[in-house]
Amino acid sequence: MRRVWGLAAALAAGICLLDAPTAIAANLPAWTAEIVESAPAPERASEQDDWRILLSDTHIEVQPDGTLFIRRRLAAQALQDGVSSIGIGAYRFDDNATILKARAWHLLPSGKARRSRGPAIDFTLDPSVLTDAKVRLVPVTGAGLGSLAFFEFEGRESPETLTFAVLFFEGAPVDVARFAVRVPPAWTLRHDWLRIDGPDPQVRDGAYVWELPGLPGRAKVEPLGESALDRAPMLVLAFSPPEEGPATTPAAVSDWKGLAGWYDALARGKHEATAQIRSLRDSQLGGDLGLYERIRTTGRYVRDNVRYVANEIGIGGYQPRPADQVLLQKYGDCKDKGTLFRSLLAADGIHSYAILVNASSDGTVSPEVPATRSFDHFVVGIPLPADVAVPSELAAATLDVDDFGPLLVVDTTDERTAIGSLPGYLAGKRALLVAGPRSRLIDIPDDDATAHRIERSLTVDLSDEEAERIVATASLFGEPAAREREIRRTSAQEHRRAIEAGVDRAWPGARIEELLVEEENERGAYEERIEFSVEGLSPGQLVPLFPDVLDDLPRVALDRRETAVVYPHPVTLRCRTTVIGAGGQGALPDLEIRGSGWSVVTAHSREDDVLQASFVLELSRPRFEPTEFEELRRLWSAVRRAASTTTHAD
Amino acid sequence: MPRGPVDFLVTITTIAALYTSAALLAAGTELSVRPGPSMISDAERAIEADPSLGVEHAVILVEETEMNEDYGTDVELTYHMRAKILSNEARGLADVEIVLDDREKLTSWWGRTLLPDGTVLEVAERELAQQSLVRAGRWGTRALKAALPGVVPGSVIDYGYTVKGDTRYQYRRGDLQGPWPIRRFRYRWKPSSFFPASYRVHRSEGLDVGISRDRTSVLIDGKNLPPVREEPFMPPDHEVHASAILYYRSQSDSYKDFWNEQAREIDRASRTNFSREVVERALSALEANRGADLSTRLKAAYDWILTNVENPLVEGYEASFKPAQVAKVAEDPLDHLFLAVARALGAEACVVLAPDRRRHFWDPELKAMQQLETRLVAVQAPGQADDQMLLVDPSSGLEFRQLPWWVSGVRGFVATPKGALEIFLPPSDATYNIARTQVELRFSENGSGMQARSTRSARGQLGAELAQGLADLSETERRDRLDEMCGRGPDVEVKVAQSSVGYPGMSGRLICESERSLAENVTSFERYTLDWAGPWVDPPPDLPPGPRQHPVVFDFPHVEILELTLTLPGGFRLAPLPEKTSLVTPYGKYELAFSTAPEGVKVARAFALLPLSVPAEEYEALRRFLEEVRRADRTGLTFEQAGSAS
Repeated sequence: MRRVWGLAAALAAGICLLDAPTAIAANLPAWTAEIVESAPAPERASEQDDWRILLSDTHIEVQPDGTLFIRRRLAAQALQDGVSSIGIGAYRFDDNATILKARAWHLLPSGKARRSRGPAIDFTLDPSVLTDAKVRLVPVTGAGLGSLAFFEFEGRESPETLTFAVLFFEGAPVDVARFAVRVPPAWTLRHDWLRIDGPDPQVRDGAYVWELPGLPGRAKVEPLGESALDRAPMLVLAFSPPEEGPATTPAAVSDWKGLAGWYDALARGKHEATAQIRSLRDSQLGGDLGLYERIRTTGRYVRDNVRYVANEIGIGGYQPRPADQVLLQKYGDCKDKGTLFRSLLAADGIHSYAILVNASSDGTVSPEVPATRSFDHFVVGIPLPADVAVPSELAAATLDVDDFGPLLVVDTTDERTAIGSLPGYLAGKRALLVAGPRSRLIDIPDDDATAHRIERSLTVDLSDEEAERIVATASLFGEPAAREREIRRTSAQEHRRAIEAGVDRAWPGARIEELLVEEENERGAYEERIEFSVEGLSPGQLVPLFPDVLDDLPRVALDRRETAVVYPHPVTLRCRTTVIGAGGQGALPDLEIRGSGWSVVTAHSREDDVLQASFVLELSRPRFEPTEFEELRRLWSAVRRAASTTTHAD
Repeated sequence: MPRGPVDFLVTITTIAALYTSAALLAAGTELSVRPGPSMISDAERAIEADPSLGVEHAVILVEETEMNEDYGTDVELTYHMRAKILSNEARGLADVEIVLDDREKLTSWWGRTLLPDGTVLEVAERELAQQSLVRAGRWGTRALKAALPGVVPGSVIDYGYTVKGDTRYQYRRGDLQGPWPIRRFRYRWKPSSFFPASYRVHRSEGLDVGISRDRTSVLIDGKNLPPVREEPFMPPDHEVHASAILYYRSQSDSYKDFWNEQAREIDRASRTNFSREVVERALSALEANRGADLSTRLKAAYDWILTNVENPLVEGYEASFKPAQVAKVAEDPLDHLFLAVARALGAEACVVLAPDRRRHFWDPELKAMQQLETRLVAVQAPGQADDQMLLVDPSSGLEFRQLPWWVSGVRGFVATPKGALEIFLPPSDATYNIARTQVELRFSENGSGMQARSTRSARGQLGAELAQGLADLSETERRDRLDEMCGRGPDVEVKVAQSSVGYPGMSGRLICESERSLAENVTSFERYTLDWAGPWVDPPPDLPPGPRQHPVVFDFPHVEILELTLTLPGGFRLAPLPEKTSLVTPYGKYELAFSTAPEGVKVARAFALLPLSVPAEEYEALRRFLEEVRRADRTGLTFEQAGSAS
């Protein structure tokens, strides 16, 4: 699936070497006059900003055949000396586009104007193995404090569908961002703002014009924070020709059902259970398996045996390759892998649906206005029997969808995630279920704390006078398991060393006697068991009952913080600790503290010299706005109180 | 190590110049790069993952290159890779990308996957996808890409190609070791016969790497090259990987003369083009020292320059570094000025060039000046022995005779009028690099938090480190950095974070005041144990357990001294104080002592880390020492309600 390629991420430092156009004095174009007249004094609002965009102006003329004429103008002011224009004034295009003009001018602080005469530079910056996504840059050289740079691009594009999505983000603060669209007579235009409550358009000269003033620039991403790109306003548009008009090259889609239909047509026949597919199913995936086990076995096969190779060229960015070709080549991207998975399921008579979703950004899907670029990822939905309880190991990835009943979501692209778990990046996403006339948007919940959980147990035996013996186990589910698998798969040896180092830091002098790791067990969990001994704990030395809790729930400084704290997904932490030979201190306090979207519960019991303690944190809300920091402080305080509980050796 | 002007060069026996004496020539550089067999051999089939031996995801069975830069006016590169895939993580090896500029073209290609069941899946040349990478006018680069199909663990991939073009690189470095083990590595280089060329195989000691050469080419042949493990505090990458450097020289000089010639040239340049006026002003200011010995006068000259001449290299550290600006020498660095003044005072003064050991050491067998990035100065009295040379670096802002740590502990190059000298650049003594920290720690009145006030004064490399850590930061970045140094976090709010840097001499001071919330109100406990360590304790290096491949390399020896005073919360009294801890090892010393004080308790901690480098064989002993330090740092301070039974 075609990735939405962000401008911010798109600009590599090395290209500065190529920034050497020949410039000669020239008149500035007429559209710059007003900007030159009213340009403010160059002042940096933030130290991150080298440029300020005085005007970002994009104008689209929808042609009767559905192609788009796009004109983009940008006026930028340099906020310090020696800044490079690389990073602003870029125009994104691909093989479906023709660039008609790419020009730039530089108005020096001295008042002298010159046009960039050097060659434009085209870069491929998308990291996909196969891609046609590029940016065109027209460098402006020698910019200093107060320089004004003007860029103008014109291009013609033929999108796949008559939809458009624009992100209001330039990587620098913007004084005025303007976006205008003119459609042919009798066409209709629908729009929707995402992430903000944006303005309605004004109609000027027959064009619909939206303006946003005062957009922020690139801000440093704080720990547990969002990037400015992820917060940038997004406008989605759908253009509809009159029903009796001539056919357009791009597909006209009036609603989400229409977009689903467009995808369905593209993918038609690709997931058929051909002879090769059936042959594989019989030879490698056969056996007398029940429905759930068959889904898991088949999902694991595709996930693990087909390597991810992105194909983002032309329609290949959207259209899956035939399943038997993917099977033979054993490589493909998300839609290829998902399509092979669907095909193998079909060979078993298991029905499934394509689901389109955005894996990299939140808030890209309008409830009303369809847009192809709302999505960049493909997963598969499998309807499960409504009259049978869903097995616990699949529950975290099973949605309850009206008219469909339980729908198991499987992402065969994510090699780290167990079938039956959901990758953290899907939490809270709105997705398009492609199901013919029953196609619809569905919401993947972001409040299921059990989907991503860490269950730990710790047994500390202080009764041996020679050495304390400790057994620590961990079962990780969902995203915590995925992260651990990713580290381990990079190098099992280094992963082992990291675990040993962690034990050594927590228990200096620890001698590890056994370390067992199971990357993915039948429950879909990552499991770890460490047995070690520590010599020389002195009497009275403190033994923490829940030593991993503060590592498992990252926290950040909140003083001076002005942006939301966002955990990547909800989470549950469970710890059970047994201490044999615990010191004879009094009863430890039990806690039960609850807040909005979270709870912390601890319990302790003692029988002779055996102390049992448990800790449960459920965090079902991953987001805390600055106005909710007091709530977050309460949560952290509760976790810290629990984490500080200790006992000691006698 | 010999110290004469040129004799250390004579000891080098692996001089590697091509097109030199025919008597040295040997045959055996033939290399025919061609596709590997279309079936998996028994030996290849038997290869299995063994993470404990570094064989985890893949084994490179063959990697061979023939680079012919003497192909008329053209260049022809032929490359072959054959690898056994052992896990999913190595399947990316089958994503092939051949980057070409506009003047290069692919003249041959093969690519195939050999599946464990004997099936062979081919990728034809026509299936290569072409993708523009960069284009600017007529200039551009493109990539030919192929995804070899069917790759699963157990497969062998085999691909190769020939590219023709006319681009030659003056200097090319390639690793002989990578993330995967390599069974056979061969690289044949046939340089252009129009230019003098050299090669150098670096850090191949202990590896099965053979080199053969003839009149026109060199063949580097490596067998069973293990992967290199990443370890904390290891030497720089360049010094732990075997690599080959292939380069063209600007002159056809022999290896023996190269460094001597460079030395004479550098010395000549150091005696010209300096503003006589600035030197005169320095000498005039030093008149008062006329009767002193040369060493004293040199130090006075050094101090005068640091105090009176703008130093662009340290301006970013602190705005207050603007000196009196008696002189500006923006185009002539301070070392150049010091050279001139020292010579005017009657000293022999030479330029010293040093490598940045964070990146690499100096390899005299590699005839390339690029490896010596840092310029220092050596001074001595006329006729004095070379080992009496004083080494200084005015640009660093450090005290007289102190060098930045990243050029110390390694060999450097002295440019004398007679030629090159090799010299050891000594690290500074631990007692020069000292940080003293005083901390006052008290509980808040209601017992729910603590206030901490700390002052850290650092000198020497520690002072410079503090200054450098705050250099070239924006106001916000500087504030964030200072807050971080003062321990800002979810439980710590920093109220005051100030720094000042003393120049010249590079001393630093950090003042922090913070409020720290406690997990539980201390008054709710009958007995409370406090972890007294905080951001004021610089934790010792964290060395993980397990075997060690590389030596441990630290930045510089140093000493940390801490005095902490804790005021007990009202109504509490001290429990018996912990015993004193004292550790003395070849790697350092540590002492931790607790004593009562009128306010409550005093903690005195001293930690000295002495070595610059520790061999891998001594790793466990070093690690044990540091582990003991960490363990001692966790010694809790316990106090209890005054009314409770003790």
